[in-house]
Parts: sequence; structure tokens; C-alpha cells
Amino acid sequence: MKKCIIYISLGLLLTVSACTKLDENIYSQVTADNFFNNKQEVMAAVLRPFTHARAWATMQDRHGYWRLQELTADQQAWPQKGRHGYDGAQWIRQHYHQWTIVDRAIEEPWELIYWGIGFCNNTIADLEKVDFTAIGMTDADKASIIAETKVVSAWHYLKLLDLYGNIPIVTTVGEPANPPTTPRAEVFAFVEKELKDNVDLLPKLSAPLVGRVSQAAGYAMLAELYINAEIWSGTSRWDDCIAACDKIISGETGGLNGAPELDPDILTPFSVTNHLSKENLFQIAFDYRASGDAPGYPAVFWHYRQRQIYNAERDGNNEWVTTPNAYDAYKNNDLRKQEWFLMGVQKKHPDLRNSPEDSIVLGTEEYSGKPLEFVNNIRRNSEGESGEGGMTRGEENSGARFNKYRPGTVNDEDYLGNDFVVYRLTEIYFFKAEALMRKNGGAATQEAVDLINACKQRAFTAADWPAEAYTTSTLTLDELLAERGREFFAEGKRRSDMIRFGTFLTASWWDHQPSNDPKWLLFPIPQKQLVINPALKQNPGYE
Amino acid sequence: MDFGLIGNRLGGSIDLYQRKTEDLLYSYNAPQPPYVLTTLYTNVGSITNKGIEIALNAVPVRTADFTWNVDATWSYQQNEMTSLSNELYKVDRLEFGGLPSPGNLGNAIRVFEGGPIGDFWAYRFAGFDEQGKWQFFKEDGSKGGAGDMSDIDKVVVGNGVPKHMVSLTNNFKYKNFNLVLYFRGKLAYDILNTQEMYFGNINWSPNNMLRSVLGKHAQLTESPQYSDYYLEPGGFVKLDNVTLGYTFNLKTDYIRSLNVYITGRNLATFTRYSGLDPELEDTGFTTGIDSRGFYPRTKSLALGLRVGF
Repeated sequence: MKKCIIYISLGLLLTVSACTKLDENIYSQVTADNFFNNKQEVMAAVLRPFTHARAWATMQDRHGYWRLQELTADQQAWPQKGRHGYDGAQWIRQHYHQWTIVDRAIEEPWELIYWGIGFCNNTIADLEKVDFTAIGMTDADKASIIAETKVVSAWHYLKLLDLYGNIPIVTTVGEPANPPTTPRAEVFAFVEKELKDNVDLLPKLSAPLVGRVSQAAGYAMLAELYINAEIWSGTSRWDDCIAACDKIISGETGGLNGAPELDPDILTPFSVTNHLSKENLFQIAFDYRASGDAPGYPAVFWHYRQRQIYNAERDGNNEWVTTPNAYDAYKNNDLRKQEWFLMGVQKKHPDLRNSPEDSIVLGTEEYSGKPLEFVNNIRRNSEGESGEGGMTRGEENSGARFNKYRPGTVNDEDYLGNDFVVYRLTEIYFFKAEALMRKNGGAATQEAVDLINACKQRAFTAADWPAEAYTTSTLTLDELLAERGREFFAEGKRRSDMIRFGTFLTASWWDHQPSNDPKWLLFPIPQKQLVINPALKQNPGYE
Repeated sequence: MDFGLIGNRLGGSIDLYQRKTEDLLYSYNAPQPPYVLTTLYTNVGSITNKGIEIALNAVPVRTADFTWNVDATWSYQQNEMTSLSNELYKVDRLEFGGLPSPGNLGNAIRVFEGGPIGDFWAYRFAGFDEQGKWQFFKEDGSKGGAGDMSDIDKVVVGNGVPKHMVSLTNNFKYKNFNLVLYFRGKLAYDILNTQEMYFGNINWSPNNMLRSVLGKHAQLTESPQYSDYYLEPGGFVKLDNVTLGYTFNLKTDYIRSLNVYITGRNLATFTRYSGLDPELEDTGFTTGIDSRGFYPRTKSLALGLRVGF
């Protein structure tokens, strides 16, 4: 009996003490407490937002910033082609400016970009607590890495400012529980402050920093912010834009492959070895051979038999095409028209021809068994249609096709190694020229003309160039918008450009009529977010 | 409460219970920002279960050679999804039981805060029109086709959680023979017969279809729609065990006991349900949905020998 009492009391004692101490040693998961033990682990957290950005910022068959910037603008479309591509009319709604507050195409970019901001906020909070000197790094590393993460976060907010305008700002995960809408001009001020406070703490751009954010990237973001300041904040900031551009142009912020300069031709910035480009300033890196992850452009742009054109190991989903007006905006002697687009009868890659006669790629749908010939119209030619066609009238061969980024062949060492270019020196030249012109009442200064000509010259042979070079009278703002369209085709810029130049609501192109209502200048706050967070306000016109 | 009467020839127990479970885990839509992802797995809801369980045991006959022992049990249970929300996360309903392709028919089951688990939430069937197309009742009582219906026309048409569980065990011993007759059943619930819904529809061709395409559903020409047309009463009683055995009296030291028996399992099912087997899940959120991939339970017969050393 006595023994029982002793055992029972001992048992009670143990259970009572055990009940109050509820801390766990977690062996099944990695948490902030047992991570960040070395440089590898620190960099894994720092680099995460970049791999995540592949989903929303780059050419992908996914809802994201890039898709919204292009399909709502006047150069590309995803028409229905027979039995393919209707997709609940979502591409049709984007093309005609008829999107709704419940479209997944509106919801998902929001989710993906705030997800990236969540990574940044989380990393900054975790790394602030890490003693870098204890893990073989320096305090200078810590300052530079935290600055880089803040600038990356500011880049996310810059894109949200562009798409949705009036958005919540959060710098700590989970706080506040229901962040309120911040008006666009204040979001602009926040992004400007984050960039200015941190950009000079970043390293200068150099080869090892490919895919990451450096001073060059930070000043490019400032340049983009300032060129759009009139629209985004109500106050124009042309001089600040010029100052940011000059920082980059001078070489002060570094270069990817020596001092930054324009690449000598029109394919180098986009090639499979574009980590060696002299003009690229910020790109999202891809390395198919090393990682198995390929850039997303094959799925988006390639025909069902496109592997035969390139000798690639994959085909595409035959989605996006160039609208006829955009293809016609190039003169026939413009090398960009010849090199960046596929048009006409498609030939098989020489390595794939079984015989000299077997050199043509054949179609699979309307032109099954017949030569695949891309045409500069989007209508049912196989059914005898004529006229301008339309978004539901496409066929498998409609439209000029994207050939700006090429994969190489499946046997190449760098096959599908193209990094996605976010900013390149050409765009900085264009920003500066535009700011100079806007300061000058819309008229080109000689400096502006020289900047644009330096870029455009690569698109023409030496013989053709003199006739194509701009002068201070031929370079107007309208012409600048058109040249931006030709130069930055498919780079995810077109919608913002059209809005800034005032044509997004008023222009007609192909079968798109003016959409007129100013609400279309912003995307709506997704209905799903308004339901969860009552502190958010819908954008004007969408209530 | 346990009791025993009549010299323990009648005994049993009665249990009443009420259980409230709080801090249920569920994946809630999280505001983004300030959270990193779109959903958060967190403790919010609470659920209440209450019921009564009665077990009775009686020995109606006991003589020198013959004993008849009866065990009967009955339980009744009720549940309520007491709360799905707190100050931070608000959800007023949850949906379960997504219906498969073809067609985007949505979820079969809806749970409201304060309501029971397992309610079928569907249109009310109003007949077929002359062309064999679906007709349903709209909220105001008028009839409409499948394209005229919307969410407000849906109502609670049944519930898939069994309310009553019963069992009856009869144990007979006569000299060296023993016989067990075991019945069990579940009562008071509905079953959504998705096999009839999809395979009993002429539009399932050219795949194999059920004979009811030409019989019970001969009038129907349109693709599957979800309504109370395919909701059937699901109660059943099964004869789940019949065992007949004989124990040998052996006068040897090597073997202590020897019993030979034959036993049958899942021998008969008494039910109004027209599908394969009315016994589905008792718990969880998707009770009462007889899925298209249901694998039939076997009836079995076994011969056995039990030897004790």
C-alpha cells in the first residue's frame, strides 16, 4: 500500500511538471531557430523571391504581371483558334478591356506578388536576428543583403503600384491582421523611400550578380518609378528620372560584363548566353541544364510542332500571337521584324530533315498535313473568311510568331538558358530621352535623338540606316511610343507605356475599339481580397 | 448508468453524453497581405456531439441444456457545427463532396455555422418535361430548367449522417452446439446515389451504362444534374454474422478443447436503398455520398477449427 502511494505521488509530480512546459524541440521541420547556420542557408532565403518571381514577372503560361501588361495592350493577343483557346473568354476579356473583379487573371497576380513580398518581409525579420560574424560572413554582408531584400520588396510594390494602384503596404508578416488600402500617391512615396534608402547599400552590378538585384537594378527601378510619376503620384519627376538614368549610363552602378554599354546587335540581350550581355541590368536567371527549370516562353508562344523549327525537345501550346497592326508597325527592312518574328512557311531545322524534300513543318489542326505557314492576320482563312477577323476567328497559323528569345538546339550546352530581361540599358536610354522630351514640351532635343538613334541603329543595315535615323523633327512623342513598341516587344512594358502616353483608353487597333472608361487604367482589387479583408477599398469604377 | 435485474437475467447500461470540441483545425482564407500565402491552417471552429447509448443484455431462457442470450444495443447521436468563425476568421458555411466530371455540378454537401454536419444541399426535383429535360422547383415554387436555376433555389434535401446505430446478438447454446446470429444496422440517413446519377444517364454512352437507363430513368435525356432525384433513404439492417459451432468433449490430456465452426459474414442486407451497399462512412464531412468507385463488400463463408492445448 505504501509503495502504491509513493509511486502514485511520483507519477503525479512528473505529470504536473510536464504539463506546464510546452516548448518543443522540433525535429521534423526547419524553423528560423535551427536555420541560418552558414552562408548557404542565408543565401537560400535571400534568393527565394527571385525564383518565385519566375512565376509572375517573366514570360510564363501563368497569370502574372507580364501577362496583364501584354494581353491588354496593342501588340499581342491570345485568340481562340478553332477548338483551342476559348478558355472561358478570359483572354478575350483582357483584349477588349472587359475584365471582371472575379477573374482569376486579376486575383492571381495579386496573390503571387504579395507572396513574394511575404518572403522578403520574412527574410528581413529572420536575418536581423542572425549574427553574421558567427557564421563566417561580415556585418557589411548583412547590411548589403538586407538592403537587397528591401529593394526586391520595393520592386514588388512598384509592380503592384503599376497594376492595382491603391494597395495595402505590409512590412511585417501577419501585421496588421487587416491592412488598409493606401492611396496610390502614398504607395509611390513608400516605394521611392525604400529604393532611395537602400540602393546605395547594394553592390555594383558585376558578372557574379547575374539574376540578383544590384545598384544598377535599383536605379533602373527608380528610373521606371520617376518616368511614371505623373500618372502614379500626380507630380512629374523628369529630372529625377534623368539623374537615375545618368547613374547607370555613367557606369557608376556597374555592368554585367565590363562597363555597361549597348549590345552590338538585337539578339545578344535575349540569347541563351545573355548572362554575358553588356547591356542587361537586371534579369531573372534560368539555367535549364543545371536546374531542369526552363524559361516559360515555349509554352506560351510555340506551335504544337515548333520543336521541328528549332530542333528543341518540346512543343508549345500555340497560345499568343502578334496582332497584325504590331507586325505592320515595323518596316520590312527593320532587322527586328526579320529576326524577332517567324512569318511565312516554316522550315524544319536542317538536323531534322530526313531528305531535302522533307523540309517543311506541317500543321496539325486546320492545316493538318499541310505546310505550316504563319500569316499576318487572325481569321478563318481555311473557311474562306476575309476582312479583319477577330478574337474568336483564329486558326493554328494565325499571326506573326515570337522569335525574340530562341532556345538553341537540344544538343547545345546552353539550350533554353535564356534569362528573362527585366531592365536593360536600352530602356534606360529610352527613359532619359523621354524625360528630356517631356521637359521640352514634347519636342525632341538633340540629346534625346542621339540616345534613341544609338539604340535603333542596331535594327538596320548600314546602308538602310541613314534613311531611318531620327531627327529632332521626326522624333515626336507619338513616334517615341511607336519605337518603344517596336524595341520592347513582349518585354512586359506595353500596357504601362500606353497608359503613360495616353493611348490605353483611346486607341483602336486590329479589332479592339477604344475602351474609354478611366477605370480600365487600373485593375480592380480582387473581389476575393475585399471579402477577406474589410479594410480594403475597391478601385473607382469597379464598386 | 449500469443496472442488473432479476438475478442478472436482465442487465444493461445507459449512457448519455455531450461533447464539445473546440479549436478545430481548418484551412481558412487568409488576407494576403499581411500573410505570405493565401490560406492559413489554424484553430478556429468548434463542434458539439451529443447522444445516448443503451445496451441491454437478457437471458430469456436458461435450462440445463439450452441457453439463449440476447445482447441489444442502440445509440442515437446528434451533432452541430457550433462555430466556424472567430474575430479574425469568418466563414459562415463550408462545402464538401465535390461532384465529379462531367459537368461542373459543385459540392453536394453544405455545413452552416450552427447547423448539422452532412446536409445535402440541392435543387428539388419537379419532374421531366416532354423532351426529357430536367425540371426543378425555384425558390418561389415555379418550375425551371437546369439553366434557369441558381444557388438560392437550393435547399436542404436530406442528411447523410446515420442517426441511429443498432445491433442485436443472439447467442444460442444447446448441449455442445453453439449458434450466433448477429444483426446490426444504421438508420435515419440519406444516400446520394452518384452511380445512378452518372452511369444511369443515357449521356454516359458510349461507356457501359446501368440498366436503369432504359428502366427507371428512361424518360431522362439531359446530362447529369444534382438534385434530390438521386437521394435515396439509406437505412439498413445487416445479418452480419451467423456462426454455428460444435465443441467436442475430449478426454485426453493432449488437447484441452476442440471446437469446429462454420461462419458466414455479411450474409444479407435489408434496405430500401437501390445501390450496391447502403453502408458508407459514419463520420467525416462526406458521409452519405455513394461514390462511383465503390468497391463491393464480400460475403464470406469460413470453416474453422479451434484447438486448445
